[in-house]
Amino acid sequence: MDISGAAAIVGVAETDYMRGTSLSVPELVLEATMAAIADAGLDPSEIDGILPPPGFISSEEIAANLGADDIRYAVTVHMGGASPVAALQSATMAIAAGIATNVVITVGWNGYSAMRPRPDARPTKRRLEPGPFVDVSRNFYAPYGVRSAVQWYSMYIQRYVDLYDVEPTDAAQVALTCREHAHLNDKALMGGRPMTMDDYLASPLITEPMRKFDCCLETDCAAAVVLTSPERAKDLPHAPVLWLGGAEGHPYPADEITNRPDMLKLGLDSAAPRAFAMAGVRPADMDFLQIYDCFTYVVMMELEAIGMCPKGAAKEFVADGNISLSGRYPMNTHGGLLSQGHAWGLNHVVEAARQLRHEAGDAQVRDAELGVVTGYGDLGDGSIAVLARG
Amino acid sequence: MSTAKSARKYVPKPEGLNLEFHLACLEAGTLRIQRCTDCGQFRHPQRWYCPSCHSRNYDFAPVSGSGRIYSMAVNHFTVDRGWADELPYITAVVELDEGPRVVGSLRDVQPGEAGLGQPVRVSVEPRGEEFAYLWVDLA
Repeated sequence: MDISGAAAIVGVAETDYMRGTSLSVPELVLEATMAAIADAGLDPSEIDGILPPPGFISSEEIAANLGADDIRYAVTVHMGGASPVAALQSATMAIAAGIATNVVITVGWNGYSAMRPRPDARPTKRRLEPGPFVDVSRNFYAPYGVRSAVQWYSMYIQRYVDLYDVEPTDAAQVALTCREHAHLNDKALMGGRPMTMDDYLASPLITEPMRKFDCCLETDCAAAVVLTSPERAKDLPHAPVLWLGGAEGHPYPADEITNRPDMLKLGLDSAAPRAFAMAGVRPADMDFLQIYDCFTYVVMMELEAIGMCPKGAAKEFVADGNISLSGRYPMNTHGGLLSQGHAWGLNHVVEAARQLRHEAGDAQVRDAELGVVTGYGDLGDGSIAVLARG
Repeated sequence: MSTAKSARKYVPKPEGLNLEFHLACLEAGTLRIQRCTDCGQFRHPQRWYCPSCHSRNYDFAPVSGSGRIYSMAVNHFTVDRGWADELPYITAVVELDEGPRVVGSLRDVQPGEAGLGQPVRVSVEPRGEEFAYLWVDLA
């Protein structure tokens, strides 16, 4: 069964990216979901497939708000930040197989407020479900003071920078480019707040080699996208965005970093060739890249994993404006997790769809026809989607 | 001024195979690693089946404790209040001479003083009755 092109993104939405809000996560998720369905020109009751975030709100509860009384497909992807892009594959499979017709993917969270609740905030039991690696993490890393993403990933990034002589000024290109692009986006949290190389180099070390400005933002927000069949998409208001190919990949073992035979092999390394083969296009054909940017160095490893450049060559790839809006491969044209906000990379899918609809405003890549979106999460899980203007 | 007193370090409550690992180390006073008693392959963290030969037979075999720094987390910031007073601190990934890699605390070493590939020794210290804390010292 060939599922290339079997589904199209027809609706997208995102909330504001906030540092503190009076809205609960379920309210944010529903706001984005309702807006994405409206953007698709559908009635909420027409939704028959739901891929909710891992935690906070169930597909059942979402359906009950939509008046969607005939849900045929509901599944949660547990790949951390790789979940939304992997969910595109899952949704496409369901649509191609005739299981569901109109599928919504949504995520939302209190990325800012979870750690910094307002003084008057009522406690809530709604929370993110921990990733599948939590058992290994709490037994083998946390006792030694390693209990956050930047610390976990530093265990392979240390080897990456050592092997390929990657300098902070190389990773800075990723941070500075995302910041430049944020200035073009009204929804970007860091829009209008310039960052120079001196600012970057003056930002404090967090876990070597990562500095503060290598790390993404923490925001309260939600996003959602709606997919349907290309045939049905023809009757809907926006230019359809075709899912040409995609894949997920898991490093081995996925639940533990340090005993991997090759610690630098990410899930994306195995996923990306499958995705491009399914799509029938090459990395060099891409008009833009939306790369999951939890940390600048992870972006560099992902660019190599998806075949934009050879191993160790990302430092050259991100240099000289190659990834800026005026460059050959504009990357994270919305500002990314680093400078727009953190919706688990579903904001990268939203931005990719806007680019391919030619609705990206000041950040529009001229004549964009093909683009790639990646996801990255947990302890190096990866996901990828090649999208095309339909 | 903050008057918060420093929090205690987190000590897990191991269960199942992971508990067996800790008890084996504590009983011996030195590092033990799970090993397949059919094909002889070491494995860490603990797994029920040998991923090489799929045997369920295993023991916790002695290892020398010597190895090299394979990677490390050099921490200048922490969200863990139990570790705030230790900053900066280094968490080492050690590749043991026998092959498996373990995570432990690199002791009495400042950032910049240790690099990948440096020879080290891993030792065990009890934390309560059921957790064997791993120290890493430059060899």
